[in-house]
Amino acid sequence: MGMPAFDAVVIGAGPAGNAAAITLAKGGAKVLQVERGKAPGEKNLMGGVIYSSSLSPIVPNFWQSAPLERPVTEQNYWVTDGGSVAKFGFADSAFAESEDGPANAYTVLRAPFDKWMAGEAKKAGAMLLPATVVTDLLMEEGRVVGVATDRPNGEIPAKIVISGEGVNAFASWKAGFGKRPDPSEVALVVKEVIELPQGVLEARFGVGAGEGKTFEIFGDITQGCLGYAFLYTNKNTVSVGVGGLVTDFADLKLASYELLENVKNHSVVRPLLEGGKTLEYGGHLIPEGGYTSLPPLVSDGFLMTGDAALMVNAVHREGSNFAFASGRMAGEAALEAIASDDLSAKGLSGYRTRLEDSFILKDLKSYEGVFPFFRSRRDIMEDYPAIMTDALRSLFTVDGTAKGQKKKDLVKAVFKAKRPLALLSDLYKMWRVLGK
Amino acid sequence: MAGFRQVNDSSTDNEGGDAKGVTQATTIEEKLFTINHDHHAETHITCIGDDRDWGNKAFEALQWACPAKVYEKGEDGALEIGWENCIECGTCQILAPDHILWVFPKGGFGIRNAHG
Repeated sequence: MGMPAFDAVVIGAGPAGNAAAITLAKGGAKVLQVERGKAPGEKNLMGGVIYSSSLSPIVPNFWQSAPLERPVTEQNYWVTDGGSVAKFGFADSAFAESEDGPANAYTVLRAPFDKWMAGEAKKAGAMLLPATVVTDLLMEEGRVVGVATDRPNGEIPAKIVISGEGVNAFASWKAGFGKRPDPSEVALVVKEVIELPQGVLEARFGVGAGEGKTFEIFGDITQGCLGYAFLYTNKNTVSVGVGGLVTDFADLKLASYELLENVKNHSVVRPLLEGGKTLEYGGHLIPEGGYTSLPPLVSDGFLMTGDAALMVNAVHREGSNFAFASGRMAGEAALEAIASDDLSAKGLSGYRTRLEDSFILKDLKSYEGVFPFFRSRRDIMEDYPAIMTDALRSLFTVDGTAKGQKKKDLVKAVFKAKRPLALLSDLYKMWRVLGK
Repeated sequence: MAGFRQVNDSSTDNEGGDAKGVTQATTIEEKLFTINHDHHAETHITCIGDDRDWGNKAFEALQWACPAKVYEKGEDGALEIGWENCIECGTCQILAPDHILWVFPKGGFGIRNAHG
């Protein structure tokens, strides 16, 4: 085989692939991005929220040109139980966009957003091959030397291949890098984008033009699924969705789309959506295996990024930031390998070092035990919402009982629901897995 | 093949009896109708092996989990795959890798999200 025409082939034009392609092209490398959609973004979907700290290093001043929906100026967490809902939220004026810089986070819709970001890669000099599925990796003596595609004579040699394939990383798995995850480590999220007149949306959610809110809703609203429902405000649409483990739906004899319909019509959600029009329905998988299930991140001639590499913190609904940052770091490490003419895992080891020094592997490691814990202790997601709402109901009900007596009753009721030792043990365990 | 129902056919009951859904997309058929597709002539979903008997537990699991109602019991009591409904999430190949071969539609075909 002669010299490959491309320094790097990047599989996929999502957040990870686009970050890698932009970084490589800006660094002067010859990059080809292969995308299975007719246009970037058409296959992609998330809740979703992006974080400026991860995008700024890739596209400085992105907020001046990207199709962003709303700055996230307030985050809300709700817990439902029966007819009750407990609400906790946090707003901060520092979360807003200012003249000096972007907001902390923005809601986005992935079809327009990914298309914009792939356009940034093109501007930087990357080539895009759309409407093409990468079916396998080309291997030579254990090294990755390019990709095979579903086009006639579709083999494309490259010095380095970066996978930004997403959760269904078929080409990587086929070539022996990572494998199909276990069903117990994959969540399914279904979602609708619901249109409301902008004025109605802003009045209902209590947001101004440059403001947006996110709501994550836990408790019995998920009807027993290990996940949560969400509402994210966009410009003139609301993203509403709900997730659970892929195994939950058969176990509970509950269709995912019927759960979504029940969420939309739940008494705490329905008034916010009333009169809206569903513009688009969709579904997507989230890989939640985390640190213990990571595939090989660095191999000879090959790097894995984003969802393909299971880089997700499901507890904090973070994934796009892992994808941006890992894609950028893969691009930087690939540039070093090309410059030093060492395409081996050793030459590419700057990727691993960067991941270890950043929030990516630090967060994945510290959240290692969280997901298995909640999976094994589903009762926590069921019992504690009820304990919390019962306690708050009792506290806020004025019925002639003296406050001192109420407090005693409350403690008694909590300990009746959970014996003191079990409660202490649960709290300790939650602190252990979440407090690392 | 599972076809789309008429938009005004509200055969899915909501909680709260005959209350209508909060948006026009109440049933899965109405939800799927909101998605743009460019279908390839050939299916990208096939059954591995000859056993399509609906008694297979794996098929029942897919019927609940698949968010696009691709996997249904046909009139002959065998699995029917409505691949045109597919929204390309990959749930089926995670849940039933020994029974269902699900690959990406040929490049450029399949769903075309306008919002995502």
